[in-house]
Amino acid sequence: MSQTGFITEIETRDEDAVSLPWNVVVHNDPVNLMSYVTMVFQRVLGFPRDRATQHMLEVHHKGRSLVWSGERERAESIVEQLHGYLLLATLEQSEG
Amino acid sequence: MRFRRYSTDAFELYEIHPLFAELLADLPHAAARHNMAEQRIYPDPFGPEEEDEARSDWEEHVRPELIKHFAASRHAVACDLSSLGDGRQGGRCVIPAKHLDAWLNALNQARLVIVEENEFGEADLSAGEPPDLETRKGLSLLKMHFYGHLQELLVEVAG
Repeated sequence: MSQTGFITEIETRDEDAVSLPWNVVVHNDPVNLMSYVTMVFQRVLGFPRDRATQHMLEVHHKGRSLVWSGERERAESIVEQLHGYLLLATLEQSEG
Repeated sequence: MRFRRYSTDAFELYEIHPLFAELLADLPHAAARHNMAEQRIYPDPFGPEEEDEARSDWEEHVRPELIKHFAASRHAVACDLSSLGDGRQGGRCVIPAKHLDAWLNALNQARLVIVEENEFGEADLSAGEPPDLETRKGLSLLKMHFYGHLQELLVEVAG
């Protein structure tokens, strides 16, 4: 206990776990139109049309596509935007 | 039903058949039935390994924003539909360019709700047979296809 009376809790995390990037993954669903998903990828992720189409097709054929990777805060913001467009998106930490 | 795009990027639906006028009029209501599709419209963004704190932060801060955003979209659509009439004289509806995103969003909300309400799977949605309009399910399927077709057109305009 410190002199001020505050209790300090120190959480320790593996350095690798902190630095590992976060992935934004979009999952397939039978409702969203292919053209709509492509448009959303262009808008939210700034992909050119060809790249947006590639990711859309990956979602369609493989069930999921990793569309962005990087720091957690930005990844959460992207997932929020994708949910705003009603796409099924999740946040996953890279396995290293 | 016919479609026209103005130079201002506004979009007009006109000579709308009474059946389609009815389906359009129902769009904001169908889109609002979120209780039937709660988990799909507000999916959990985290895997099972994620700590509860992140999940409750999301529920507290992000979900209310999504609720507001979806409601605003439905409201914009309802305003545009106020000029629709009952379609008996060939209804019309103008979608201003600034409302295109709201329409795309409301159409998606409605389609997700309809799928959950009727437990439609890929096989139902891609069946080549025309839906049986004598049944509630068939009418819902027609609504799905109609909303999807409209969404496709609007993506072309907005994209």
